[in-house]
Amino acid sequence: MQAHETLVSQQFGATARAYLESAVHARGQDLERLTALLGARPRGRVLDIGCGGGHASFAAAPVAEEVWATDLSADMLAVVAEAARERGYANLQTQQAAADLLPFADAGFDAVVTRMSAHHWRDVPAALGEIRRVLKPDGVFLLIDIAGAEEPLCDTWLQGIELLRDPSHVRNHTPSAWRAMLDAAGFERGDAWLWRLPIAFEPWIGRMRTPLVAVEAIRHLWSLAPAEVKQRHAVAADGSFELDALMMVATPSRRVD
Amino acid sequence: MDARLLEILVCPVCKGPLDYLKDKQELVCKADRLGFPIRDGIPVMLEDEARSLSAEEVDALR
Repeated sequence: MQAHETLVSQQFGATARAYLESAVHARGQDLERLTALLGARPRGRVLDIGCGGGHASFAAAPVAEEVWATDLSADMLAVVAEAARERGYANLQTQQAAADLLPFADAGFDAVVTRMSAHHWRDVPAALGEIRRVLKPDGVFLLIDIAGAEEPLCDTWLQGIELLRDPSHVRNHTPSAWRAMLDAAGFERGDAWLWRLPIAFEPWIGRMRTPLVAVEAIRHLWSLAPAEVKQRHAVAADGSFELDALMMVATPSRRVD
Repeated sequence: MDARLLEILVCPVCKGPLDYLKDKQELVCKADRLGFPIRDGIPVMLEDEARSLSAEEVDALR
């Protein structure tokens, strides 16, 4: 029996380079917005949690004093460190760490960012508590992730397909769930954006090296999906579909109960 | 081992300070009796990968 963290580490360690090169991950208006939001603030120390291919860290590096890119996977961090050297980001530092047990002192970061990682976290409230702890009182938290569907039917189908593709998947939380969890963790919510992310089927399963049996199961599920689900996720004949993605800005509340 | 790292890193479990053991290449939390390995100069700050220290080992560090 293996721990969830081991599974996450293995899933991504084996395929680290693919995430550096993935167009879905490397580009996006959310990255431009991240750079703009951080750039509007004084240069500071930025923490990226679950950095994966490092794209949020690379977007932060030009406007930050220093960036700490953290991930469970040492292989992923090695790819990020090498890419940072190639791109000349001398202010980017990698560090192996778990989101819900951060090895950093209190109130040491001006900003915490996380992009396309939180759906792998086993305990989001604990991680949010940690983020709140390591943020300075005037710091900012930028959350970017795939969002679950608010309609339970569409959400179940989405989570099922995600789990078949990647056994280290935990949950794409819905925007309403994120709002509630941020409130509970002592954050004040700022701006939020929701957009559609087109997913091309073959690269999507290729990146994760999804085994054939699971690919067949995904195809089977999509073929059975009710019209409502197919429409909600814009499922195409080849299995390509659309995900919702969200970006939320949050700051520590003045008072925590 | 970067001195700056030691200023920023704490024990991920109790958030207490860490001791750098150069000979063992470990960052040690005396309170939790955990030794976090440093591999290729990079501290692995994961509870699962930490070594449990005996009480004697911790005493020797005090």
